[in-house]
Amino acid sequence: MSGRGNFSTGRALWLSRHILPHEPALRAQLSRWRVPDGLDADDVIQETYAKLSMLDDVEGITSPKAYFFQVARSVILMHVRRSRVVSIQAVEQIDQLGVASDDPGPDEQVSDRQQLHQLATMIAGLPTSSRAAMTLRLVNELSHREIGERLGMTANAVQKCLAKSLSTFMRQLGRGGSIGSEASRICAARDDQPLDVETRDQL
Amino acid sequence: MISRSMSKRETSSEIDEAAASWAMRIDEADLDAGAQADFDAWLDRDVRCMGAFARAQAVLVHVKRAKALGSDFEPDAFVQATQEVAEDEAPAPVFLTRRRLLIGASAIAATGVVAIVMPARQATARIYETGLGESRLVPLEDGSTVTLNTNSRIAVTIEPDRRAVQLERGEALFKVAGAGRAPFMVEAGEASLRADEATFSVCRLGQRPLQVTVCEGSVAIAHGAAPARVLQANRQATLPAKGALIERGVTAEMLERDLAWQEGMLSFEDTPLAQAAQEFARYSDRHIRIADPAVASETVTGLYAANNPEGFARAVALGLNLHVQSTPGGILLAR
Repeated sequence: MSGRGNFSTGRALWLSRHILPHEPALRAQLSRWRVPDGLDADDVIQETYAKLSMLDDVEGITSPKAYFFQVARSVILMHVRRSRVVSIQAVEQIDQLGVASDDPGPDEQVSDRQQLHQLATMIAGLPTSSRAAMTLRLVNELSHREIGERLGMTANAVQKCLAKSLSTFMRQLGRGGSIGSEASRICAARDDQPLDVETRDQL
Repeated sequence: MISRSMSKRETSSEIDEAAASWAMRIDEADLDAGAQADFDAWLDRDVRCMGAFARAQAVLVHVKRAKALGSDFEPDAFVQATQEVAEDEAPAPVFLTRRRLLIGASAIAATGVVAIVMPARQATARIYETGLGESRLVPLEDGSTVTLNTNSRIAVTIEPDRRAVQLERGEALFKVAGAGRAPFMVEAGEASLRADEATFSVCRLGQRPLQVTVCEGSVAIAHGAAPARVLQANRQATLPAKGALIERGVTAEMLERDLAWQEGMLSFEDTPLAQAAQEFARYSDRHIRIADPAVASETVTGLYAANNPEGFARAVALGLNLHVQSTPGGILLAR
């Protein structure tokens, strides 16, 4: 794959408003059937965002959720094609991925107040120093150096600590945002649908 | 077939961690040449890196909405105050309660913020305000929310038989919840608005006429001696100090553009530079001045950070081939 993604503020805003809220639904869908071995849901999600970041223009996308699912589907299909054995069943199941309406599911329809509650809960759940650093960065918009001066840390330590908090948020939001959802991390449903898409990358 | 060997393939969570680190660095400041080269090399290593980075940026934009909580935000107090409306959430784990006791005080000390205390009932109006460049989401007791834009001030009274907000100055987006309750009243100067369940914004800026824009539902507007008019969704009313109310339709794109401030952004489409500069002046005391009328009438399009007039000026200068000059009072754009 060539080309660089669009990392502008506008694209990040679009992804956060129109794609991120649908991620838990896509992950739920992904967990219902097996993706090719050697590839997990997180890989599919990352490759899907890569494709979305490489789009020239997102203005024309009228149904971002359906589009998000469709791109994820193309990512999986590409990997399935690369794997040696492709069962009819696998392809059929992947076809179902294309069916996604843009109606927000009950879990995606959150009010501003609930969304802020969720954010505050996520921030409140961070360890003490990370939480102070994150609040100073997000709410007070201080630089890493200024945060370090307040908290008695080096700018470098602040940067590491902020990065760690952000990756915690990335994990939580992908899975629906609530702290308790960590438990559902790995697709529990994986074993109920034995598939024979399996040989890949093993040699 | 993929030739990458499994042992060298980075896990997606390792990539996420690196992406988070780059996102925080780049959010704070532009990378220097060396770091930029490292970043480029990292991006090129695996297509997943690019995706993880785009996602990290999206998550960061999302959590930046915490800014709407205001500079006096204290996470625990807010969690407590909003708990009752978040019915769908799992009950708060016990550790949160304990943590509240253990670290609440130290977090307050560290950030220098004051906890929000939410009394159950209050006879007098509560005041909420924002400074220059701030925005803030205020959840009300009745489940409605008000988002305040820069330099705005409201007085709120919520009682069982009365819901009233006075917009003293600035701009606010109201999301009124709970049909069947007392009507939600907004007073702004000479105008009085009334809604049941609706989303609408009201803009009251010194010299400009009052503006009301309805996104969802409908709002009844009483203005001066004239009989009340009902403004439907996707309609905008301008209320001059003298004369009749002027109504016009607004498209979804226009609404989205007008409300970009909720995300700390200003969105322009073929907007004259002079008007864009005026918008920026609402958010910062670093004002953008434009050297001559020919430049002022050039138009700009794009999405910009509201609190960064310099960034906007530089971007515009590049596009319109202008010079940016930093002056003590602000920023000068000239040919």
